[in-house]
Amino acid sequence: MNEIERYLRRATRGLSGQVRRDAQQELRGAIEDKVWRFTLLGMNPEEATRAALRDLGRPQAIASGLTRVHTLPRMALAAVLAATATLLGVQALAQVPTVRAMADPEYQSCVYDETALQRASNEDAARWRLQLSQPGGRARLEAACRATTPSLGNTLLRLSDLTSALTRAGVWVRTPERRLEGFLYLTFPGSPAEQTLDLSEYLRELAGESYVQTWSLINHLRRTPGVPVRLTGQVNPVLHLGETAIQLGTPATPILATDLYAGALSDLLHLQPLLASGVPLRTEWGFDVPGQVRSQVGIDAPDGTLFVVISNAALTALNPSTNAAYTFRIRVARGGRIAAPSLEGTLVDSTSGLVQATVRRRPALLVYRLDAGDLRTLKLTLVPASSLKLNP
Amino acid sequence: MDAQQLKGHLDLLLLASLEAAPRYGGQIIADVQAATDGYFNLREGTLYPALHRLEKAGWIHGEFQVLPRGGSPVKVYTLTPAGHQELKAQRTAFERFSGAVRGIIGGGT
Repeated sequence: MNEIERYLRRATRGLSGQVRRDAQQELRGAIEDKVWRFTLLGMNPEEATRAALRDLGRPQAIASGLTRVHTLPRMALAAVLAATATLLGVQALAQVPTVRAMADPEYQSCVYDETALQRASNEDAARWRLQLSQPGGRARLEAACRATTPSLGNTLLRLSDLTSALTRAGVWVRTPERRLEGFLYLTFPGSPAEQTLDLSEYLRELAGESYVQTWSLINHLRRTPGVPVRLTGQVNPVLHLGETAIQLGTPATPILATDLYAGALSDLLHLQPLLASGVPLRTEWGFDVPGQVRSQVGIDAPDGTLFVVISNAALTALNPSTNAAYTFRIRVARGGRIAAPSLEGTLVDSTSGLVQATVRRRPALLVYRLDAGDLRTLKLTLVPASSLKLNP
Repeated sequence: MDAQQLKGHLDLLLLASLEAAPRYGGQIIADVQAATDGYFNLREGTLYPALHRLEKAGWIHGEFQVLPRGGSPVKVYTLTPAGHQELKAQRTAFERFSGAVRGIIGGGT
């Protein structure tokens, strides 16, 4: 098995993220298929594995071929397009175009069939199988999944809707000559440089239409250097890209801004350095279970101020799971309060304070103020415990 | 057949192999080999990058599926409507090309 995994890593060197995981999954399937054929010919598993890998050839050859395909050549800036875009910018409409959202059937299904179990990590799959084997286990598992599935995972934006809204907002949208769905060149009003927005790896086909996950879109825009990216409003927020604005979501399928901020922060690499502390925390996005009783934290802040609440509840639970981590949630101040993630907890002043509380198995909360004025450079400011009040 | 000669026709070959039914990589290799009496020996190092390129172009669409024997899912590729059109165009171009070559070198129809 190790031999196969080592091969997969080498054969996908140069790729990253989902593209790499998918390529590894595909090659894993191909290798197992070969191993299976060789064992039918009478080889033992070790011989069959060796023969399959030999058959596949040098992993470097696959890696260089795949890397070439997945690394697109950079296009030169188009001065003519930039000039046209400036003209369009002048005509930018006052009305904010809307991008409709729809529920993501993949996330909504919460189905635990063999395919889902095969795709999951070994640890998750084992846990699910155990739960499924118990009476009523399937119903409980599905209910828990539905309750904790974040709304962001549930929303998809239609690509054609998005491009037309961007165009109406005054952004010049260009697609490459060779049809490559989801690969967009954007020129924002007042900005001469063309930006690349590559959503091609993150598209989902539904009934012949291409959709992109809202969360994915925001995270891609955050990495597009040209213009500031910001959201205003909590439900169906307006997405501001420089001077242009489009509205995401409709009352029928609402999008919550807090989910999009959490999505941006859930990139560990992004959250970690912002905590400004020597103690590294392994943090995960925490979900609220509907109907769960929670306490309140009194905080001196105007309505609408954003906060990040980090909790050690999962680690200090009676039987913490082996992959338990610190959890973070995005909260919005209302009437001088934010909701705490759980019923109990003390307030601490630093990540080291949080770690110490965890060692003593005491639930604790650490609160930061979130400055999301530009999603490309999110800022966190520690809120001292002395200025907070539990259950005021 | 050498790699260079294969390269020019690889897209056509792969699109054509998916025309009748969806296939995964291992099946494509076996099919192409069987259909050409072993004349074409596709290697994985050529096949998978090419499949990914065709998928990026929107001509084929891959989806993970678990085979009846179980184990890890394999990625099964289906020809998209755009792929059907591309296949038709490439097939016409190839026929014109091979017809022209035949006209020069002579021999059978």
